[in-house]
Amino acid sequence: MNAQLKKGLLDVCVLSVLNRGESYGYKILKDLGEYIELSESTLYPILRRLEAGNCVTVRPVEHEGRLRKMYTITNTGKMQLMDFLADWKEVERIYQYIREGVDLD
Amino acid sequence: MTKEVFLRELSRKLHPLSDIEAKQRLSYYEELLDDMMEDGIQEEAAVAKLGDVNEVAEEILREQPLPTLVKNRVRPKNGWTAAAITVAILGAPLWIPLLFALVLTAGAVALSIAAVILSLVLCVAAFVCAGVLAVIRGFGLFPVSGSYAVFVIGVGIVMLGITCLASLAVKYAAVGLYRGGRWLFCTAKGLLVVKEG
Repeated sequence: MNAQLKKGLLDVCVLSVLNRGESYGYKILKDLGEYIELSESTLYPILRRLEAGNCVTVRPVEHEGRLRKMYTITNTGKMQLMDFLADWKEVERIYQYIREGVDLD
Repeated sequence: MTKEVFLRELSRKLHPLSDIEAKQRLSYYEELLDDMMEDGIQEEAAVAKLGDVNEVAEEILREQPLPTLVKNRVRPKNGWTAAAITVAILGAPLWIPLLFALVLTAGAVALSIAAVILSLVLCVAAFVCAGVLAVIRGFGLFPVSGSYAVFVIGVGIVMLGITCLASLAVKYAAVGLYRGGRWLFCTAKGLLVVKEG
């Protein structure tokens, strides 16, 4: 997928995973793995950005004698998901327009 | 490479970051590796999945803001020893003006690019104004001389036509200049990230 297009999608993808329930780094990567290519190093800045934007909250949870950071989506994060879905309608219209232009050739 | 070695190597390469930032990064990778191993992936394979430690560190450092990178570049490897401080103080008459010149040059380049873009835009704006005024003035000239009025209106329309073409050219020039400037900045920033074998 085009890098620019993907960049915009990744934040929403992570939010979407968290909207299905609280999760942690490795699980987010695994859940998204079959839909979009996301490397370990790319996920970290996304989580930080979402945390800074109050879209997610993070809490340490003890697991097997070690700490694991659990991420939860906030209302701001949920609203961002809604905004994305609303924006997508517009993207679909643009897609249709581009499609028609190609079909004319 | 084992988890311990990977984390130790990464920690060594992340020294430009603040202690808190580096610790958070390391605990992120440690958690990932632990989770991978818990998921049944062999330790070596889990580490290999994260990629080359040099590349991981380089990618992290590239995300850092420019001042952090500069601070790292000028910081001596073994901390500020007495000798390093002496050299820095004695060398001050040399490196302060150099640093100053570097900052000023960077500022001047950015400012010149902005000025060129602004002047191009103003040029187009001037053509629009002149064209519109010529057309308006042309209509006012009909009582004086019909042919002169038509000539002036014609000149105005030609100017507006040129504006349409010029604004397209200016748009591409401005975008090109902006991208060129950004490329220069990113390249300069890339030079500050220390590459290791």
